[in-house]
Amino acid sequence: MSSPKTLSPGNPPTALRAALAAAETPVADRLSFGSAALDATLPWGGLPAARLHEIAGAAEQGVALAFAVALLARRAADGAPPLLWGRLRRDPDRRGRPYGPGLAALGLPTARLILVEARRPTDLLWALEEALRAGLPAVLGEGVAADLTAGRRLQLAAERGGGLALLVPPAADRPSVSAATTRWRVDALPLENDEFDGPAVRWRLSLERCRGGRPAQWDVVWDHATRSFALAAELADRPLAAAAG
Amino acid sequence: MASSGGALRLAAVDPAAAAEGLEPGLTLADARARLPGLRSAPAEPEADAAALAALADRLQLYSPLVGLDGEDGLLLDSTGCDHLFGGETALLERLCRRLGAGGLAVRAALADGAAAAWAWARWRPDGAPPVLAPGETAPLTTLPVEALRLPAASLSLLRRLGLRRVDELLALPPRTLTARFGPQLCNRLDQLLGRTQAPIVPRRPPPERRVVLSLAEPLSEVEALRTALSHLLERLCGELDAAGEGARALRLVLHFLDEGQQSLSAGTVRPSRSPAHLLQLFGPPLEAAETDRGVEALVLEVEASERDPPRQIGFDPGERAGGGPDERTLAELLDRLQVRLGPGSVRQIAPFDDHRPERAVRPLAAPVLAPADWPDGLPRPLTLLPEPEAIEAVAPVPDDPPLLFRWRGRLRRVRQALGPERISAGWWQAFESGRPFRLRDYYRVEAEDGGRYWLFREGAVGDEPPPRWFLHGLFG
Repeated sequence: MSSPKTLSPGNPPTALRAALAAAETPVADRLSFGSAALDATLPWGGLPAARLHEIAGAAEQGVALAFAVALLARRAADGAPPLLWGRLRRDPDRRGRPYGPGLAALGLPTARLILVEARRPTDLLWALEEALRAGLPAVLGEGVAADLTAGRRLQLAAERGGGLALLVPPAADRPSVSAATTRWRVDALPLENDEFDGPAVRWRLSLERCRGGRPAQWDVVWDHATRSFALAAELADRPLAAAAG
Repeated sequence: MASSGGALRLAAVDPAAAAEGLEPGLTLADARARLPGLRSAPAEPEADAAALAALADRLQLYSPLVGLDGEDGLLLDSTGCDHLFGGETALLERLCRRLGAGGLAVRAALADGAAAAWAWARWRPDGAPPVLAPGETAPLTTLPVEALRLPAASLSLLRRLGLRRVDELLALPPRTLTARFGPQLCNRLDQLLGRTQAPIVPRRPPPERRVVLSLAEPLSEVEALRTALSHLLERLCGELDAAGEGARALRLVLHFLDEGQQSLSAGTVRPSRSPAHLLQLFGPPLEAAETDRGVEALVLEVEASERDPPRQIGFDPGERAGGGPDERTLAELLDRLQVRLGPGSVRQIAPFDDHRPERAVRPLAAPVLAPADWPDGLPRPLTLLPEPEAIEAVAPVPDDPPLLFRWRGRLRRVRQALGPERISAGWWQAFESGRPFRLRDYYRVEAEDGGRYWLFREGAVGDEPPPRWFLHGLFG
């Protein structure tokens, strides 16, 4: 795999950082978003697969979780092995359990999803680590926050096993320092009038922190049928309708 | 003593009292008249039964098949177990010593067949050896007829006829006995002499496979116990290997010095005969066990197993489609997760045919990996609350979606809504849950804070009691 950036005199610090990041732990595997335009805006040309990523969103909403599920759905599209979704029995954000028909509506094949529920956060983090080490292609940890130490362990396990590690920490407990390779924030965007009766979803993705990259923001639409993202701007060849009354 | 017929009667007497002529059945008053210094205590049949059952469980160290025998006896099948304790006589001696040390008066015997053992234990003459060799039936014939476990009517008839010993009965032709006493008498004779078998009804069904390790020195450290367990697992897995089977459920019983015991379980998702993997599964339970009571024996049993023919390891690295763990690694991962996180913690989601949303999904124990067929097209939330939460909602016209609602203390204004989707249930389903399932009109709403929610109005407008609004799930 070629390293994504070469040093350019134009913007030395960022380019250097990117080159170092790419060089220190070469990412052999990256998860494409399904949209060339979106992929191109990340230093790796996609989301680095064997790494830890954190996703946050408003507490009583499903958006952060839904974005994580979309990423899982993309990872599941590649092959047969199962994915692991781990959560706490007492979910701190009280969102309730994942619901099969809703997962299917987002495009995630539930047949390859293993749901694990733990009583304590330490047990959940342990389970995620074990699953990553066993080589599962992706794991999602919901409602648990990983401090620096736990985060590093997850990173190592992800690198060794090659799996995508996603964390959706509880809204009240987002660590300020984290070992994650990328940190995202997801907000809902109002749907177009004609989209509302379908399964389409629109999000504003904010890349808040990125090792070797810069913060950025995108408005995207998720298509559950093709399991891919598209930049909203690309689709908007007509002006956005005003929010319906 | 126990109360019967309006008077307190003796239920049991100790040898000293028996020597003075007291018998069960005597009224307490009569007994006291004969022996003024008599001490008595109320009979507690339930406590006795519980104690006997507990004793039966402890004696599982000596045999996997332990059955209760009436109110005061136990039957053990010692086939194949005696060599672990140094032979039949040694086994019996150890048993009696242990029970005696616990303060119990014991009469024990070992013989060919349950009926013979029963008879010999209760009726053998003093001084006769407690262990009868296989085929040694002559001593049995000298026993009184009470040793045949016959009903009281038959026994009193025998006494009237002057038949007191088993050999007297054997001298008579069987047809005569059957004519007079029915078939039971001859059956009992056959059982006593080993011609037919009287089954033992065990307290627990015997396990499929069982290995026992009796320790010369008691152990209390977890590490040492783990080593002992690994020896047991090597033996057990050797047997499984030879049979082409793998274990699905295992039970390890630790027998302590103080006669107590503790039972630990482990289960697997796929049949396994890997000692290393099974040892790992017992890790957390062993650490949590009360090992400092001192373990003197370990009994490892297979409670469930399945055929698991040996597989050829594939040499082709490209064999595993799409990379990721192979079946065995995955199964072992799931086992480890289940052991540490507890039963029911590892699940899969599969569709289940029911209109009501909360029943439409049923978690399975992993891993059933068949493709799932979800009903398509209708909007369904990503997460479902365990119970719908009541909300306050303002809806302009009875059938319309709400304009705003308050959930968990915050007011939310609705920007767009989709619905209603009417979901109802058959009247019989209302009885199942105990709560009537009223008609529900579901709406998917998008609020101005960006959240997307699944709300429903329960009950039709104009109903009594008036309809209420709930929030059931969250969308992405």
